[in-house]
Amino acid sequence: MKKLVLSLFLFLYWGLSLTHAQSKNITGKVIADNDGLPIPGVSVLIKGTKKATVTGADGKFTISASPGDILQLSYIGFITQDVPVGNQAVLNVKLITDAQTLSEVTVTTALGIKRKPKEIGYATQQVTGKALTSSRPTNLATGLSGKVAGLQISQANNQIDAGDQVRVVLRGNRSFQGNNQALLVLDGIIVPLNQLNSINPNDIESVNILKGANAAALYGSDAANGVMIVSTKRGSADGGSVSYTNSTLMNRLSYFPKMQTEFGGGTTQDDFGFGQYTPFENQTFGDRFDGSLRPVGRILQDGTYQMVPYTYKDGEKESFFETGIDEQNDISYSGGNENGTTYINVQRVNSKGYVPGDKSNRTAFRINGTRKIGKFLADYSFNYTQRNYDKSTNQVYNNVINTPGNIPLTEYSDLDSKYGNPNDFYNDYYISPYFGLKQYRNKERRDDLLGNLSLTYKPVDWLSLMARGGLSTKNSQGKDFNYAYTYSDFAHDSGKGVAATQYNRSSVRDYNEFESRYTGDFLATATKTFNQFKFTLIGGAQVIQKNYKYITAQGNNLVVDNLFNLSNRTGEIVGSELERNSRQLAVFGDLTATYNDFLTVHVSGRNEWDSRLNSNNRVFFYPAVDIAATLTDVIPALKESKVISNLKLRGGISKVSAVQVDPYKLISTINPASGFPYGNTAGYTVDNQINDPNLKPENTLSKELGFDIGFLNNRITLETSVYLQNTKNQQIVNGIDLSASTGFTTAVINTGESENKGFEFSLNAAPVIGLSNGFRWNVGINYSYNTNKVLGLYGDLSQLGLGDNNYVVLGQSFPSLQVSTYQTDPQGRVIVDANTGLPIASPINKDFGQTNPNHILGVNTSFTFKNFTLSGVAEYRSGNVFYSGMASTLDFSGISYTSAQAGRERFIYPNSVIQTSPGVFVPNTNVTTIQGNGSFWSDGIRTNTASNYVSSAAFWKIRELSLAYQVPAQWLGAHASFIKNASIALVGRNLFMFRPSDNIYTDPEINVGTGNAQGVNNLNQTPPTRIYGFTATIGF
Amino acid sequence: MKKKLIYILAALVFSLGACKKGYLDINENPNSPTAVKPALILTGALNNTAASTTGSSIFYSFAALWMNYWMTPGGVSGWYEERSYNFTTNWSGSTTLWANIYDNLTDYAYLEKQSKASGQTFFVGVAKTMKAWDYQYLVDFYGNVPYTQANQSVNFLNPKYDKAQDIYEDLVKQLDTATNLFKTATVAPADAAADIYAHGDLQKWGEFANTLKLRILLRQSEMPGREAYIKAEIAKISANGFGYIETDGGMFNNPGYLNTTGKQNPFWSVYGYGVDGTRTASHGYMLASTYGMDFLKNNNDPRLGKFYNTINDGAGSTYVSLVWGQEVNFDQTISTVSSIGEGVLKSFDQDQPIMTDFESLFIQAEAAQRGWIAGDARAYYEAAVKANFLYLGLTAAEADTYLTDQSVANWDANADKMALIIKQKWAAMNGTNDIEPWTDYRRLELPADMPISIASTVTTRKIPVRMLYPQREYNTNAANVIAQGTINQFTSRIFWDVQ
Repeated sequence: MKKLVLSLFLFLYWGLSLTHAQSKNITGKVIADNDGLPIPGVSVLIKGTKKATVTGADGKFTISASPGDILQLSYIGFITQDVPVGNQAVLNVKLITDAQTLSEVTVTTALGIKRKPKEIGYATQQVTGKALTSSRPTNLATGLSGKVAGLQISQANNQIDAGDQVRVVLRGNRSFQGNNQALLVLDGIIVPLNQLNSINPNDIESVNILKGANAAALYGSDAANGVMIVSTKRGSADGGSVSYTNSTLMNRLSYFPKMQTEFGGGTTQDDFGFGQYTPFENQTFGDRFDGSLRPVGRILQDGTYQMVPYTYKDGEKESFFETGIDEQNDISYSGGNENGTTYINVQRVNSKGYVPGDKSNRTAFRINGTRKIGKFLADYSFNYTQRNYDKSTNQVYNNVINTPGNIPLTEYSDLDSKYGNPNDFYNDYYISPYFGLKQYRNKERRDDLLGNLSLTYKPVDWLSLMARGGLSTKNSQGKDFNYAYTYSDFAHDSGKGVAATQYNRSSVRDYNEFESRYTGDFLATATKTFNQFKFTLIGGAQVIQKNYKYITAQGNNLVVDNLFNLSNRTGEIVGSELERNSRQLAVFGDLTATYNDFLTVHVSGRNEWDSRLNSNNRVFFYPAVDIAATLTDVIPALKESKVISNLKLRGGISKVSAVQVDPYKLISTINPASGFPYGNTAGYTVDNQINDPNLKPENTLSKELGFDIGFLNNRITLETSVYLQNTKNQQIVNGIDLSASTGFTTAVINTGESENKGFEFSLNAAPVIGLSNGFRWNVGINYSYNTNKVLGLYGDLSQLGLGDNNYVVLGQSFPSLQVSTYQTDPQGRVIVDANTGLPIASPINKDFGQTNPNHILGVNTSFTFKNFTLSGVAEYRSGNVFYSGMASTLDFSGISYTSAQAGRERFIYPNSVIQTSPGVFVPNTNVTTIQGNGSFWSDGIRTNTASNYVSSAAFWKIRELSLAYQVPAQWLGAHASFIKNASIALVGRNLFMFRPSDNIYTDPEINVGTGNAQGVNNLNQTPPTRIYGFTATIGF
Repeated sequence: MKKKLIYILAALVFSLGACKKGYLDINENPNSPTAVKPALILTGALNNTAASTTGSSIFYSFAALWMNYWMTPGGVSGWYEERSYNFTTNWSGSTTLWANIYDNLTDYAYLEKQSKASGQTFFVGVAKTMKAWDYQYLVDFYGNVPYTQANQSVNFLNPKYDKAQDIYEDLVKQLDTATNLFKTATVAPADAAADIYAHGDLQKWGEFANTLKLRILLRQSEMPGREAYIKAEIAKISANGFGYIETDGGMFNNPGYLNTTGKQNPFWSVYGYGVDGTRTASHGYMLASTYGMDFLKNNNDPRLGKFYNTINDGAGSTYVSLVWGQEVNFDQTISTVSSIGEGVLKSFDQDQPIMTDFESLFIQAEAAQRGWIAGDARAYYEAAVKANFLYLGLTAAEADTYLTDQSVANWDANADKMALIIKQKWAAMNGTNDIEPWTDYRRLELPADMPISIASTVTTRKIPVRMLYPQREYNTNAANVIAQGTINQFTSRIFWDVQ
């Protein structure tokens, strides 16, 4: 492969050198007429040829041209200028601004329809492929964080497959239990959001975000959550070019929770309540470190002990984690002519995780193209991605973090060593984390195919007919490996907890997941202009079919150790199968009427048929209307203003009906009862979920208003929106919680109403400061405020559980965190038992407020000088809380910082009261807790009370930081003219994070899942990381 | 042209929607059935009853400790609630029993409804009997619970709580109806096969229903002014002619337990051995309690070697126990302390007792002693002890010797017959049903010398008198559960617990 690339380069070099020999070099600088600042990125083309270049950051360019050639200089927002080449070697040009051309910029809206910004009556925001990939994320969603107002991206985990664990929400939550995540549209075709990680970010031309529900008429109900329209690159029509990019990024553990460093391993206490050292304990309730030499672990077979100084071993746990590496290599070709274009990209990502032994790779191949055949235009894109993962499934973080501080953990990395081998590993109750990594593993291969083909026919110039077919398939095949291990007789007989079962036999699980989605579109677009009116009418029809299948089979107690095949088992195969199929049909119409190029009214409607509901409820219609008026086009005072260059008002209202449930959710099922079948004996049990056969769609009514204003030739722009969304007839997809005494635990019904509202703005200054020497400072600020409220639930129900301690509570914002707590007096002081001094558990959970942030602020900035660009993205979120389930485990094990705060002695519970008679509370000044050591910190009264572990989820993160250097075109021209452009950059992601002082645990973004329930973690996720590295791109 | 096109398009799409009506009719569940024959539910429900009551780990995890049968060893964190009696609404004892039993009741409600519709009256009788079984436990654990509005799905999303005594009285009526059905029902062979307890034996079901009713009535023995009611109800039992469970009778569950994960006898799978023959974790967590072991040890009771194992010291005759609630050292593990014996841990496919003959005989002994049923209390008592010996794999002769020679067992040697019956019932029920002895203790304060945990975490030196309502009720049925007032595990007694 490398050789092939090299020879390709040589070939190109030869070709380019020939043309080079006939001309001379002309250099120049392009500045703007209004502010005199250099303009980077101006296209400089020799008319009638394909020879072209662009200006650098300082506005300078170099091109080889002959006298008599005409240079055509063009740039968005400026009038294109032709400059004849004479004998001069230096050619400086001043470009004239053109408000008219600026308005010709188009935005890709629903179904790939391009529209002028002034015609759009709802909020959109565009992120270019370049901005997206400036810090080289491997997942495109993480590259959007902080760049779009109202967009919340949450990375739930950091293990090797973290790219699949991203939550994407626009404008907060509407549906209680249904999907609130944005719709992903790739080249006009809806693809499941779980395909995000199979799209190569480097293939992306732009991502356009439709924040509201107004595109739903064209995309269907999923668009109620907003849409991410991803357009991949097409080849350029002028010749061919090849570029190669390498990015090497490292990720390292950034921090652990705060831990105590005073006490070592132990669980028992002496008669005075002081901790006693136990050499083989997993808990850390021993006595205070004293530096003495002490045994670690049980006595070895040779009668000796490992002797280790009884001190805190700094950095041992941190050193368990390695430096992960992501290496991305991309090679792409872009080319074409007036009859068609081609874009090809091949990417390979090799990753090594920061959890030792975890690795993955991704190979992505994309070919996009366009072809003109007579009156037909064909456009196709085809993407194949294969990913392979090899990761540990052991709860390794738990094992590592809970290791007592006196243990020299990294000494045990060699599983054949004297103290590191599983028989003699010091811990009686948990296996060595190094052993865990080896024993429990998962391998998975995913094959994703995304493709679409559209044919457009223009019988007459005002009418275009398009037929398009698209497919996305996801096929995962995986295998869980649990390796066998036989403990030595000595270890087994010693009473060592983990060796209680001497012979741990191997087991295997195989699974296969297949998901596909076929979409067929037919679209007729008619555009006609009558006097001052311009009409665009779209009529269309859509067919969608979704199929899903999951099969798993597990074999336990494998006969031949570590031969991972289902046939090699004893006992029955444990397996299951799940299938889901659904179909949707829709017809829609969409009319845009523009008057005099300043007022646009846009009306749309969609009628949908959905197989998931019964025949009485499955046909439904929903409409939308929006209006945009560009006042700068009509009000003379504005038109002539030198300050205000653009003022657009917009407003829209839309209704969307959505089916949120999976197929087959209209009738309760009856399933094989636990344990059945016993041989030939079958037994069934009624499922715990009841269903409403007359389930109706969930309806969301969205209203939004906003304005866009541009100052000083749109050097400063402000885009704002306010919105209000009411969702009624909520489909409670997982079921509302019922009392078990109803006979069921959940019910899938339509019930409840929510209100979701907020505002957002996006302020951009480009540049804030621009100097004639090429220095530019750009700033973009994206801010959103979102809040929601539960207006109704069901009957007398006051709340609805979402799982993971998240609840939807009547009259409050949702989801809110409710966890177990202590009884408190009316002033909120904890009531303790008068005899034991122990807090008393309350049967009523405490509500801590919402788990979604109210405020999200993203700040983007870049400084460009000469050929250097320094850019960064920071993000702030606040207004939410989170529960660190992990912290409960840390208290249990005694490694937590908090557990040593009272010196491991009995203490007066802070701010506590004693109830002397009903309703009378006196401050507790003298009753200490009956225990102060492990029997307080690790017992239920502490660890089961989750309110001890709730903290603010606010944070500031430096999401991205990059320093890029563009090799000057002049230099390349002189020294390596076969290279068109070259750049290198140092990049970093999540380098810094700032948290409130009460959050001593972890990154609040880390979460147990990517569903609606947020703000809860445990030790199944791995700790936060910092990512940094470099990237280099060469274009030929 | 434009209009024409739109017409064509519209016609095309509507024809797709209209004439291809079947195109969208693909919502039939390919994964699970939505209706099955009652017989399949019966089999599943009976097996679940065994797995969520007498065979469930939750039936033993606290009561076996409180009744001083078993004790947790050193090196095992937790057991805070069990050892201290200080539990909350989130504790598994409070939550699991409620959830599992109501879940099981859903199946019996479905069974009763479907069988009534199909005219399978045998199943209706079984459903009523098993509902009484489940509800008696719910009342005994929680007192007032949802009954009249329970298990009616969306009809009552917040079922109100009924008075415990009202429920008890209705259960008695339901059991009368059940025995009437058993008298008249005919059992099709397929239905008999689905009955994994009694294989369609109506006499057995009649005996079981009667014994259950007697147990329900006897529970109210200490309530003042209740005797007339109890006697009148017992008269109805006598009238139906089925009698009670006698020696060699009893209800047992066995769906055909297999030595496969998840398919072993539920008690065995928790406290016994894994599929590969290695002992389970819980086997090592439940070791002999001193009070329970000493009663056997000190009275030359051959059941000692059946309820408990000898320790692993090579001698094969050393029995070691732990005092309830004591601080334990790390070397006090299954290697050095006796564990659960093979008299109750027989095999992976052992029958799971629902109600044993010896439990029934002890109940009858008590009823006879009170003069409420005919027959000789002594005969019932001695038959009960004998039946227990036989269940454990001992001989009738050994039982006779024990009953004759040991003062703790000899009928004549004990003046307080009630104390004798209940103490021996407590001794016999070890490892087959630990809830009934706890309930007897709550009702009669017998055995009177039952030790209290000596753990330092004990703050109220008293064995709890009930479970707390589960936290989920406070979350999902708040108004109704709060209407039951403040519940305390030491003072909020069940209605029949009047002492």
